[in-house]
Amino acid sequence: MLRSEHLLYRITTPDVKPRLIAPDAPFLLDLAGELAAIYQSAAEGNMTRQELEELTGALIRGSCDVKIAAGLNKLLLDRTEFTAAQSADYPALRRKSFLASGKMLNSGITDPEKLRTCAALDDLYGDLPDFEKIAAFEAVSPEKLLHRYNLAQAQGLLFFAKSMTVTIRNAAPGELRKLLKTVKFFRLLAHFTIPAKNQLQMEISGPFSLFDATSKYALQLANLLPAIALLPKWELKAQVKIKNRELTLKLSHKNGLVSHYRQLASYIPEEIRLFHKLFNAKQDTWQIVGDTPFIDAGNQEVIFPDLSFHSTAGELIHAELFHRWHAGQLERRLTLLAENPDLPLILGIDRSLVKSEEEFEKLFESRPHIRRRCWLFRDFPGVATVVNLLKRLFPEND
Amino acid sequence: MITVDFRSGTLTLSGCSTLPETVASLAVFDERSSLFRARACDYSAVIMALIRSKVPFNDRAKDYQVLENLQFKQHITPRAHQSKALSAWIAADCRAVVSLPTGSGKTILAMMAIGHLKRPALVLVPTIDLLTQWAGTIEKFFNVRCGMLGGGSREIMPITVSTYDSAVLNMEFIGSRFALLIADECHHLPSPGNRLAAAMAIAPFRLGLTATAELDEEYSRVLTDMMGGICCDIGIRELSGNILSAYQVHQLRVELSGAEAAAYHHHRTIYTDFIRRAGINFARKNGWSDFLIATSRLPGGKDALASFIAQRHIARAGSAKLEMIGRILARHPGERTIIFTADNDAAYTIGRRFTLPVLTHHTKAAERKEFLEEFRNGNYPVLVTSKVLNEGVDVPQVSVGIIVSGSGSVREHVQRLGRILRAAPGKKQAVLYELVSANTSEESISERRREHDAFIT
Repeated sequence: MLRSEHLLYRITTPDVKPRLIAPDAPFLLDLAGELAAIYQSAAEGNMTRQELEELTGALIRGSCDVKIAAGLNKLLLDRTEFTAAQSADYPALRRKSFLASGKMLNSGITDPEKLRTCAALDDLYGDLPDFEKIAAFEAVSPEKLLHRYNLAQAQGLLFFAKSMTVTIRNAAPGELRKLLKTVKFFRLLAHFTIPAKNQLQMEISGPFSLFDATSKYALQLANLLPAIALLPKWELKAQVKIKNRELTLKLSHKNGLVSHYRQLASYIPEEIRLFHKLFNAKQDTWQIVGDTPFIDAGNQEVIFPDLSFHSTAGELIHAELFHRWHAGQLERRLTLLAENPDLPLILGIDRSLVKSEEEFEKLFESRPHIRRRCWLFRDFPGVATVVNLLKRLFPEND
Repeated sequence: MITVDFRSGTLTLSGCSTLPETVASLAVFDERSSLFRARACDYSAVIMALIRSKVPFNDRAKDYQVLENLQFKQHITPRAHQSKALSAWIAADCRAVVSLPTGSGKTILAMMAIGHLKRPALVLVPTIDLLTQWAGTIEKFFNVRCGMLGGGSREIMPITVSTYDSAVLNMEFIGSRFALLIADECHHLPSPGNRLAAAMAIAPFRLGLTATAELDEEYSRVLTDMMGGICCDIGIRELSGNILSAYQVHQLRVELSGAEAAAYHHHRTIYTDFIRRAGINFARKNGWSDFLIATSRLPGGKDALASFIAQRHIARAGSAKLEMIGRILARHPGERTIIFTADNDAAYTIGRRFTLPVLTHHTKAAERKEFLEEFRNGNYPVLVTSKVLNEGVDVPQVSVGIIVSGSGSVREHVQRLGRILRAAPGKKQAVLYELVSANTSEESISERRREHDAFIT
């Protein structure tokens, strides 16, 4: 993360924009490369923090843009671990020194020369942070460092935000699910709306934001940005207060921000593609909805279904599939469905989650009214099973 | 039925589509969660409003009980001013601020408040040193183990001490577990960062403790909102020579050496010329950041910044001041002395010169504890510190304070005086020396920080 002294931005009232750099600019790639090389060799040479600062300081001061160089340096410093100087047992030797100097002082001797003879070390405070040694450095390519810098500049402005609105377009359910998980992970709350087809808008803030335009959640909001930057199309708007001025920060996928988080959620399994094809081929009462919308179940429970079906009679129902890696979520979803029987939702449960038919039936002992909306499958649901279930639930459609 | 829950530092009210009128003014509908939400600090007001409206409700927010087994291990015989303060606090429904001078026994008053309520209590303190000191005092007076939150500790007990920083981070998880919130040095509480520590706690009973209650209008309003109004205010002069040690304050002007004076004026000229050219006005709220921005943008800015640092360093820790420290130490052999500086550099310079323990934010916990223990028992008679000992740390034997450098803050100066004011057996008079470099900007800084009746001679 960058500190406020590293932030570069332009204010065109009422907007504020981060001053992003061109990650392919040769002179910046050179600068990033030189700085990273200093860190690499300092780490290999087991240098002290002070020695490292002397080397980087010279390069930073000589750079044509000192602030950019200092920002890149800060990001490299964040990738560096230091350990305390090990050459001597400083606390023990200090104790010895101070017990001796204390005796002198108590007997009225205050001459610095005499007191200095008590010092059991050349430098009593040689273990201050300046003298810590580099223990590890996480290497990074110049290009990645420049991308990380741009993202950190944008995150830096979010440190002044109280809340933010994110609009997402054409995102896959898996991508949205992952974003929602990240929102929850950072203990933020979101208000969801659908401003247009294939769009999801989230107003994100913290629980206490209702009462106080607090910046307590600013770090959490900033931490969310890398997760947002993973999405293909997004826009972000935040009100920020910088130097007592209320400003608007606008960011989008067009800024070219590159996330350092890993995106693993956008993969669409082959089974889903095959299911779509077979389902539409086998019957004509129901159609699979191409763009699955989300279901806002209230109280911060947002469901991103795996499949959605639309009948010729106008019914819309969603299916959520629970595999062996969803064990923790299944009970929560069953409870939600039992408490909200009007939710247009059916649940497919992989046999790996329940050992037998008896165990499956046990799930519904305390909530028999949702039994008919759940079914078992092995690995992936068969088209015929789902069609039969839809027929049972909506007999009037046939 | 309305259900009241504590969630993430707020109260949620669910199971209703509208709220009774008396409660509605305390809560807002949160569309994000489709329920009503109120500030945790309004817990008692919400519950009272629900009772008054006679609407059935289920209170699931409160997560504490009366501490039936809490007992004093050591009897407290309160002094008159402590009894007066406790009575005033109880009369204010146990939700108010008490202003008492440093050394007059604010911690004892807090023990009396905890003993009076017998309910789980969370004490907020500004520094790690105070964290351990408060925990020790609680365990000394009560038959319980005290929890600590901050400085690497994370143990929550029915009576817990936390730094403000850790409380802000953790209150959304623990804010329902305490009935009494005590804010030590509560003038720190209203800052935008710290105030959430009190706002996100449900504690109906609150005690603010401070030696310096003077705050600006906004901070004063926030403190009253979070902790209640001031119910008792007793000044240094009222207790001096009786409850507090008698004291003297000596301001010592020290002349810079010829070379230092020349260097000071050289750098001062470069710096002041620059701020004049750049139109910097330090009287403005953003004066300092305007200066820093100008140094990075305008020609000559880097030199001006370097000169600013150089002239300040000479004024704060010139050789004449170092020599004067030696003379003062010689005047008070064996007396417990704290040397205060404005910055770490000066503190370590003094520590190296006189072979003295230096306590700064760099000092690790174990050594910090050792320094304070050895200082208390007299094996280390002199301790050097930058700012970390400005507030609260209790060493009654300290009789000499040397302010080598400091800011223009009246509060900081009063707090530093407070370090030497605690009464102790055999301690007749405390002395505070303030070293000021003659003919430098330190003279006006000193004038500013002495604007308090404690320094009127």
